[in-house]
Amino acid sequence: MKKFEGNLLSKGIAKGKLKIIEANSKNCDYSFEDFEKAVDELKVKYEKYEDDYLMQSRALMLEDEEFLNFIKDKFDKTKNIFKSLDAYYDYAKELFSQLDDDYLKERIHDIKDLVESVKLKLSNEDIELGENTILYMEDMSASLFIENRDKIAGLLTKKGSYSSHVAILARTFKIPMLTNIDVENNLDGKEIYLDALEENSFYVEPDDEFIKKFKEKEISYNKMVKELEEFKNKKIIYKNNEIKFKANIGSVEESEIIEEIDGIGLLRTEFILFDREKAPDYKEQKEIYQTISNNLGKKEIVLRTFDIGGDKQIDYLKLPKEKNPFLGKRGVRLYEEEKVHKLVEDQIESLFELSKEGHNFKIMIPMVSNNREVNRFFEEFIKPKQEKYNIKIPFGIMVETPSMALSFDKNTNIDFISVGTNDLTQYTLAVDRTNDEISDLYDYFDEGVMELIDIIIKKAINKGIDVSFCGESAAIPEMAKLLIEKGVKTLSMSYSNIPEVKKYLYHNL
Amino acid sequence: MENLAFEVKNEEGFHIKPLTNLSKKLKGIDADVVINANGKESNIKSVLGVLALGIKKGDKVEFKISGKEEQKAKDIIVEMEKEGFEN
Repeated sequence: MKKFEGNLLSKGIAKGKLKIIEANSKNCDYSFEDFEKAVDELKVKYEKYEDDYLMQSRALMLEDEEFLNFIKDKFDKTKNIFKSLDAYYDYAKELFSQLDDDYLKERIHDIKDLVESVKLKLSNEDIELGENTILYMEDMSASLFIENRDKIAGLLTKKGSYSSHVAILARTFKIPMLTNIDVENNLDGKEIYLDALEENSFYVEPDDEFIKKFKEKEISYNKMVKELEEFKNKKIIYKNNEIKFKANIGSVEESEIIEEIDGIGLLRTEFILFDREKAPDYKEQKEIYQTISNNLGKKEIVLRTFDIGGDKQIDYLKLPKEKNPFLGKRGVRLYEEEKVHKLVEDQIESLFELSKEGHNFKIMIPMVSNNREVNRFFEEFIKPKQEKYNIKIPFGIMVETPSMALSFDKNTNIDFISVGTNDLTQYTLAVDRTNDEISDLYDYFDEGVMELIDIIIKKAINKGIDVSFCGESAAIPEMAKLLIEKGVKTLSMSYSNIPEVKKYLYHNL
Repeated sequence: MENLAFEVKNEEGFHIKPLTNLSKKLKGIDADVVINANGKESNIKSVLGVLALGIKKGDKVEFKISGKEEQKAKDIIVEMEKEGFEN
């Protein structure tokens, strides 16, 4: 038995035949007629997807005369179709980079996908997938996935990220997907066992014992998935109160797939700052928040201001390195730094603008240690905007330090709190949550931690401050139950965890 | 030639989805449609061209429609505009 490990992009378990697909650019003496034929065939195929606008748009792009002329032109010069296609992509990239709208800028992925699809078509004549195929590609193509969705049991890639289009589709359709995988070409066509539940690995030629266990796991997982589907929209009532389930998200893409939800309980905004060369400007920030809000039908969104520093570093902000970053300058403590100050200023301003336009935001600040910090933030960032726009936006804090847990109720500027149990546990126990050596000490159910949680909830209820929980532990069914019994009415967690928690609560509350 | 001007209502602007929907409806109709926005223009047959106009919500766009069936094309666009080019 051979084992190959990767990183998880979509959970699941499946057995299937491995199909390795390469867009072979080394051997590419294709003629222009080959290209035209490939385009025609793809077009016919895409047009069959009458209800899928993504596929329809691909068909449209394939008959774009400008596209065809561009390729013809380049081909006459280079005699190389692949290079001509790459040139078209570069040309589009250049064109799109001049746009000042981020949503439109992102459409460059559509062009990339188109170009890759044509290349694939050329180098693989026809990709005929059998039933239960586990597909391997260096970089997965979204249209290939949509075309073959019924036949694909699993996906493996070399490159890929959690927020890529394909990964989101895979999670939506509950197809297991791993990335960071290298396969050997001689595995093509082999039966493989993909376990993206516990192992994040796939196996070749396992023994009978393994196969038996794998099958059991597969059956019980599929049964569970089916059951959970029923609980997705179930109402959970406790003592005549409906418990609200909100989602934690940290990307625009996630806001696209979420449906039937009571709102966003935690919008982590740091994602805007990562993977780029320089800081975003006001306009860009506003557009991102607007897009997310629109995707959610303007439901309530608790937006957490930038939580950077600690384990989340960003090069262009040039923040000083620290010996002990978890206890150093992170979260709100960084907002005095000039560059960060400007980012937060823009962030708050855009939220007031959007609220004025009917969007439903709440503002929450991370990593505060005492009420002085909370009040300083309020005076500096919130109050001036309240006066300028003549509206109020609910303002609250993350409770993640024991000091705030014991003192937030003395603050008159806050309307709500959300308890971040990851950091609260870490700081209460003085246990680094990223250190595997001491992971047994990192316990959400620790007596002291639970006592502190109890105090928080009581204080909040006494003072009429809204309290919700948004840490990972809120998604542990037993913890969710405890919190609800203590009086919590709102839980926020990863979208995909909600059905499981609801199911447990439905039977055990 | 027929002209048509309106303000874009789609939250995400006038991009690939509205364009796809529009092109589907105009297929087979003998008319040439050019969009003018933000001081630039593009034939709607050029996908990149239209995307590069960068049309956002609230932008004013002008359609110039010419050809044998320009009236028919115009009617279709007027009808679709009411629905925000969503279908």
